[in-house]
Amino acid sequence: MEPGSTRNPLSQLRRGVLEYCVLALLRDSERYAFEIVRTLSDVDGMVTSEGTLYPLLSRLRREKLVSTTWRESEAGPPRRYYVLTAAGRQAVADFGDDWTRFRDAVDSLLGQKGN
Amino acid sequence: MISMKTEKLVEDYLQRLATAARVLPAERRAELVNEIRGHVADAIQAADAADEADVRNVLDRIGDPDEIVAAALDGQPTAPIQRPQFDTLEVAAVLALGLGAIFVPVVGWLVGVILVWISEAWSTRDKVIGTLGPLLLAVVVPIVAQIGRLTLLSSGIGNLGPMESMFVAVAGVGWIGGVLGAIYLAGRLSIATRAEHKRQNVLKIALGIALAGIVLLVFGGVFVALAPMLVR
Repeated sequence: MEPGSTRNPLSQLRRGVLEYCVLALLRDSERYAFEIVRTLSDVDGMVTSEGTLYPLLSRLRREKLVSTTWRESEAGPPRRYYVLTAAGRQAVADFGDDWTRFRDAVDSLLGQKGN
Repeated sequence: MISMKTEKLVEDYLQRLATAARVLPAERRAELVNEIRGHVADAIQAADAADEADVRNVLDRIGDPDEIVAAALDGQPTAPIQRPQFDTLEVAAVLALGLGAIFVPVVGWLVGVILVWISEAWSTRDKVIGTLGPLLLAVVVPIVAQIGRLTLLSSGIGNLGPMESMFVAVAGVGWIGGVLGAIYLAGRLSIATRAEHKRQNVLKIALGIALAGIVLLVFGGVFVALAPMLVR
């Protein structure tokens, strides 16, 4: 049980949204796991613990939203590079539309102007 | 910079992760630990971690092992249980193994051994330790006892015949061995302790006692019927 998971709506929200953020990061280029995790955790408020992203990546692989290839790296052991599958690309596109609608709706109800 | 201290920090962390991840299927557990291990290495390098404090910061940022495993469990219906579940057969096996020798010497214990090996709850390693381990005892101790008895005899103290004392030694040690084996195997079982399982547990124990009793009665009867023929 994540601490506070039932009390804090934001952490639930974050969990729902996180996988689409991962997919979005892969829209333009392939990335390796450490890159993905670091980029996300550098964004303020997105990730509380970097390690929890690995189960997420594992699930995205299992759901065939991403596929991976191993590449040699000069820096050390081979790295696992992630790319979007067609299904993954579709999923993040659909989510983008849903999210915009949702965000605007919540903003208007909360009385905040959308940007 | 890798030093002994920081390497130990990392290994301890990964060990905690591996332990927490026991609730995951073996494959996912191995995969997760390996991925985190790689991430730790990359993170330490990226942070140019030079000392213990740096490494601790890196590990903190990666997060608490329990949290990581919780994220891996998200969406899984049940966590596979690693320790063997106990059921009627296991109760009967433990009882026969430990107590069988009292009511039906040797044969009772053998019945326990058979039941243990039929059961699918224990790992093979557990079964060997629980049944054959004490058997080793039963073989070694009488030999030692016999040597001791001979020593006593030669000093004029022992008054039991050789066959009787052998029998007593074997039966006694066999019984103790059976009890030890039974305690070990019982300890290896996991017992669901949530409220809804209590009634099930009581039922399993009751049925197990009944099963052990019936099996021992049957084999005991057979033994008693055949024993006179054997002695003759």
